[in-house]
Parts: sequence; C-alpha cells; structure tokens
Amino acid sequence: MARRLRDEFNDAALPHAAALLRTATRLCGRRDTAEDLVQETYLQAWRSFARFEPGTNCRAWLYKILIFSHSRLRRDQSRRPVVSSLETASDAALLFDPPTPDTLTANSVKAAFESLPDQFRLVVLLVDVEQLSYREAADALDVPIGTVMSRLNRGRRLLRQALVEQAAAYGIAGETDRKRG
Amino acid sequence: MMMNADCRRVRELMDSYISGELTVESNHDLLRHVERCESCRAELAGRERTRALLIESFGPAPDAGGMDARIMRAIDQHDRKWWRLAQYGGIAAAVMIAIGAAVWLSRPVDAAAFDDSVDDHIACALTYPPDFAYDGQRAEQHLDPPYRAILQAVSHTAGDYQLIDGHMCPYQGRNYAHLVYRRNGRPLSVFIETADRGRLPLTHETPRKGFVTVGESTGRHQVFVVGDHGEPPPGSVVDDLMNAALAYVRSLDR
Repeated sequence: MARRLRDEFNDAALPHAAALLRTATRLCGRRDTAEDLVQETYLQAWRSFARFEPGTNCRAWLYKILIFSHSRLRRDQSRRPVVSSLETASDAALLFDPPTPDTLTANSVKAAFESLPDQFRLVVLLVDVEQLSYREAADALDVPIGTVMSRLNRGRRLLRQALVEQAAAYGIAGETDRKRG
Repeated sequence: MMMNADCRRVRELMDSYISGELTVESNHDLLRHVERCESCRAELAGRERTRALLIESFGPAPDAGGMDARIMRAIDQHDRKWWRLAQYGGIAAAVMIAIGAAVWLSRPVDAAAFDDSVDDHIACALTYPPDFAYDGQRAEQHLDPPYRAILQAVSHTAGDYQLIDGHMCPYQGRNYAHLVYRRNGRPLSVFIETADRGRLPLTHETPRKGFVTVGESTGRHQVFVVGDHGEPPPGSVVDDLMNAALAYVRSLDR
C-alpha cells in the first residue's frame, strides 16, 4: 500500500522537479536555497499526497506548495509583514499603456522585472517565464483566474512602463515614439 | 500618436495572444489586424522580444541532475523517522495500556457491593410507611453536603416513580447516599457510595432475594439502582436514573 502510494508519487510529482528547481532558483536567486526549497516542497507534497486527487493538475499543485513554502521562508527570514502596493501600482498602470521600446537588452528587461511589486512579479514569472497557463497559475497562487489575468495585465503594463523610463533615461524613448508615430 | 479603437483592443489582447490564451476567433481577429497595421505589428514583435529577453535574462535552466535523488533520499529519511516514531509510539502505548490494565485488575474487588445494595434496599426502602411524602428540606438535611445537590440533579419523577426521600444510609460499614422512589407502593432505590473497597466485580448474580440491581462505577464512586424482580422497573427508568446519578458523581470526581 505504502509502496504503491510512493510509486504513484514518484510518477506524478518527480517529473516536475527540474521545472520547480528552475522556478525556485529564479525566486530565490541562489542555487542552494532553491534546492532546499524544492526539497521542502516535495516533502510537504509527500506528506499530503494521500489527499491529492489523481487526475488533477500535479504541476500546479506542486507550484502552489512551492510558492507557499517560499512565502513562508521569506516571512521567516524578514519577520516583516509584506506591504502590498497593489492599488497604487494598478492605478498608475491603468492610466497609460506605453509602447514597448525598441532598444531592449536582457539586463534592462531583468531590471524592469525586478522593479515590479511582488505580486505582479510572481504572476509574470509564472506565466511569462515558466509558461504556466492562466488556470495553472491561478491554482498555484490559490486565487481566481480573473485575479491572475488582472495582475498579469497590470504587471506587464508596469514592466513596459519601467522599460520606457529606462529608455528615457538613456535618451532613446522619444526616438521610439517618433518611429512608431 | 493617437491609437484607434481597433489598435487599442488588439493591444489589450496581445499579451494573452503571446501566452496562447486567446480563443480561436480572437486569435484570427488579432492576426488579421496585425497583418495590416504596421504599428501593432511592431508592438507585437516588441512584446514577444521582451518576453524572450525576460526568459533569457534568467540564464539557462539550472542542471537538475541529482535533484530527484536528493528528494527521494529526503522522503526516505522522513518516512524512516515517522516509522520509528510510530513503532516507539505503538510500543509506548501498548506498555501504558498493559500497566493501566494491571493496575486496574490488581485493585481489590468489592465482591459484596451488589448484594449489600439489595440488602440495604430491603432494610431501608421497604420500611417506608405507605403515606410517606417527599419533603425537600428534610431530604437535604439528611444528606451529607457533597450529595445534597443531587436532589436538584435527578428527576423527581421517573416514569411512574416518584421521589419520596433522600438520606445518608449507613449499612455494613458503607455510607450510601440513598434516594428512594416509589410506584404503587413498590420502592426503587438509587445508592451512591465512594468506591473505597475496590472495583466492582466483573459479573454478579441476579436476582437476589427477589430484587434486581444494576451497578456502575466511575472509579471513585459506585452507583446502584435496585428494584423488584417480580415487578421490575422499566429499563428506561433505570437508565435515566443511573445516567443522572453517574453524571452527578462524575462532577464530584472532577
């Protein structure tokens, strides 16, 4: 019985270890912390695997545990409440949706991404980088799919805004606008 | 530059298109528009490039070799730990149960408990005059302080039985709190005593001298309900009185 459950767990969950490690590394920024996080995620998953419903999305379930464990890790490390600036960010983002600047580099995009508020950054990471579907991201974040879409929309606009600001700082935004105009 | 409504709508959909989340119809609409709109075509390319650069910015996916083995080792260790805990826990629980059973079985047995309750019923309850009526004040005075409140805890009417008295009833070295009920001249007794002489015997013979008795122990107290064998009280009456008395002595035990 226990052997069979373990085999089922290995078959369903282990194939996602590489993807989880990739996301964990992107979340933590450090390989060793990411490995600890993934190991903790799998231990948590194994403890509650008896309650996992076969046929449901195992990848989204594992991501949910990963994100929960990561949030807990960050809380433990900082011992500070996470202050969300969702409203301010959304208001600013909704006012203006700038065109994407022409001159982009991986570094400039990464810097713009890092400047996003936590909740937008996480959903952009899951969908745009890890390429989870909206449904999987909603399951992983334990929020309605509409919330995922709304945060994505705002997060992507903020990302473009940050890129435009970077471009403006280097004096190339105007040129971009003129080209498009 | 001012965008027209079509361009605005297409740009709203653009990110969902790149994520592959649009319906087939919306996909077609967007592609048709992009085909003829240079500005939106450039914007779509820009967003796709942004997405690609974002993925690129995180560098190549880390080598996950060894992660599977690490996870399986961690789970094995976790399972072994829990298995050991379960084993030790099981052994500890079995030892505790064995000790508890040994202590309980080694207690002396109050072999005469059932018979004495019947004998006191005969010696006391059967001697009440037929016209004896309940007097709450008298009953309270004749009960020791710990048992006085039982007069409020038990029902004064149980089936056709009426409570007619309550008193402390010393008998054969025991000190019963004795409640006497009566129906058509036939009494029914509820006895409560501290379990000083040990546990109740596992079995007892009934009836004795034409009377039946039911006994229960809470560990610190024993409760007996004694009635006629020839005209036994209904089971529900015995159960109600027994349960009320047990609930009361359990409150004393605490």
